Amino acid sequence: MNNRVRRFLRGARPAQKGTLSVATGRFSTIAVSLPIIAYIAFILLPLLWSVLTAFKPASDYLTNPPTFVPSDWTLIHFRTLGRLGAWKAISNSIIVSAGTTAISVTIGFLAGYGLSRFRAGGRVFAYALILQRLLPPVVFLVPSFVLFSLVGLVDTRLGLVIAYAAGSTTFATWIIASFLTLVPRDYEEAAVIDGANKRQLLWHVVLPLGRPAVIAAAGFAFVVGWTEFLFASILTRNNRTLPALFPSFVGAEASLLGELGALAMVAAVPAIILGVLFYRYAVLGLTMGGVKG
Amino acid sequence: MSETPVGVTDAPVHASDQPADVSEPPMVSRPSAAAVRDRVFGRWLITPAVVVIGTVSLIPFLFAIWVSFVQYNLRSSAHPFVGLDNFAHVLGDPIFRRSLVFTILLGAGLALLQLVIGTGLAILLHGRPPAWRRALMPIIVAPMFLSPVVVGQIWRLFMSRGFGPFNYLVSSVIGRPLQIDFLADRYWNLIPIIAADVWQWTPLPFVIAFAALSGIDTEILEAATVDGAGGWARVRHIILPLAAPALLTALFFRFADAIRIYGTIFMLSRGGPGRTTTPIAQYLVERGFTGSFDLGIAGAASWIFLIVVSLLFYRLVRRVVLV
Repeated sequence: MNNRVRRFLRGARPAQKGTLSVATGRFSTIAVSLPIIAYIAFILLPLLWSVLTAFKPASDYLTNPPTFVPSDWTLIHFRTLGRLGAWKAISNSIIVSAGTTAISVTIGFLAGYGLSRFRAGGRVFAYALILQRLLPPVVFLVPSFVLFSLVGLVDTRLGLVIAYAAGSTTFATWIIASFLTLVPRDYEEAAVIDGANKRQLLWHVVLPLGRPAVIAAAGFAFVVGWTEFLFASILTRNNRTLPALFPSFVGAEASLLGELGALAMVAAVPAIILGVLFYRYAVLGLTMGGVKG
Repeated sequence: MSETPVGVTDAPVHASDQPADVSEPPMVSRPSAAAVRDRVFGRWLITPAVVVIGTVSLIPFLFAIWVSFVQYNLRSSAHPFVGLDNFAHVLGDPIFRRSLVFTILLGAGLALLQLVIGTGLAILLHGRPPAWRRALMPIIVAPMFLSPVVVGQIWRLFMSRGFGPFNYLVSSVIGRPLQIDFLADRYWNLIPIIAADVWQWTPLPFVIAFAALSGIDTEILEAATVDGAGGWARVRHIILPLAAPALLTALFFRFADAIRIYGTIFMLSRGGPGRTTTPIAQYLVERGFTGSFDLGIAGAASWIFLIVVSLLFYRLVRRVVLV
């Protein structure tokens, strides 16, 4: 696990170039490349259609055969996103995602450190984290709704942040704890000998050491807030987040195709950032969060 | 422990070397006291997490027990105790049983399909020059960070009979006109559901498989190659067996997540036609939050789903999961 993490952080180089290759000759090189290209095409094709739709004038929507390249590139659909109530949903999504990230990374960092260094909470805490990770969130939906309506948290952004906090805190704790167990304790012990207090130890020693895992945890927490649909659609009515907006237009979409394509693009921004800029951290988070060390 | 800790050049005392001489050492002299202090510190560290997870998960969890044993709906403001009626109602509901079976079969099928595609892709991509994976990895992993409803929307736009290009594209390939309503026609509507979920979640087993492949000792593979093992033989007899534990973990986690499917299907088939593609999450939402808002029945259904899931997970958890 240790080497694997280092390798990812260095840029996911292969152990030794080419030796794992299943290809043996020129023909098999093509046979290896073709399925990869086919998969990439499978990923890009539907995406491309949505992106193109976002820039199409309405006259291109229902043509036969379908119009792939817009006859007249237009940005109108990004300007009319307000028709879908998108701006409020986007600001709600940003607030909810940022809140979820702040809470779960802070708490998850502390708990992850406690879990990795002191086995704090023992087996009970570790099993609680596993259960929280595995149980389908939908089983918490009904009681959460009833409790939230009792305390006035339904249809509030704070309510959503609270609803997301448990899951994303669990994930943050798990990633950070898994990562820190791979980091030698030497630096911490040195800092303690130097007379660092607990706060200095956490802030100046442990946090920099665990930075990759903290970044990964932050990315995942943000994605939870940005993409979650089930709770957002039930727990909010006027304070919709972005995902909860989409179903409203199913069935009435023939005149809104451009706006929906544009909305999908806006909603995809964090995914693109995570995929392109932080994918190493994202990959680290996925392997730490899902694989036994 | 490091011999010369950073910044400690003139430190005369190494705490663990001379414990008796140090009156107030940073490293506590008596191990038992240090252990106690560590344990207290550890407890402080996890307290916020315990509070948050306890409040947001445990309290609703216990509350769910009460909800599922009472009548809780819009018809009355009182919540009379009804015993096991809610559970009996759910178990006797053919829609619940169909949703449960559909969710588990679909989840298992999706997890397996994604594992096969993801592992295959990882093996193939591992054999390509590093430039390939630097260019392609971001594209491959990005769909995971999209909302399932956005994925559903993208596939809806793509495969709709009215305004999507899919029928046209397939028609041009097979050479005869195709007019399938992939969002509504029974059985056909499984195609966009499966495609969308594979599109979004194949990256998870892919990433785990890729990490597992990176950990394989290449000397073994070289030895096998010298002994005349071809590409397929290396995959079949060396790579797959060595990666098997990681792959099983990926399969398990993917299954655990795949049975949560809701937004994707909601955007594509809406669970229809005739509830043939209704996942369990949608059943719970429909019982609890539409019609007469039978939260008691939805709560009981949640418990039954939870029990079924726990039984499925039980044997796997201890073998697969960390700790």
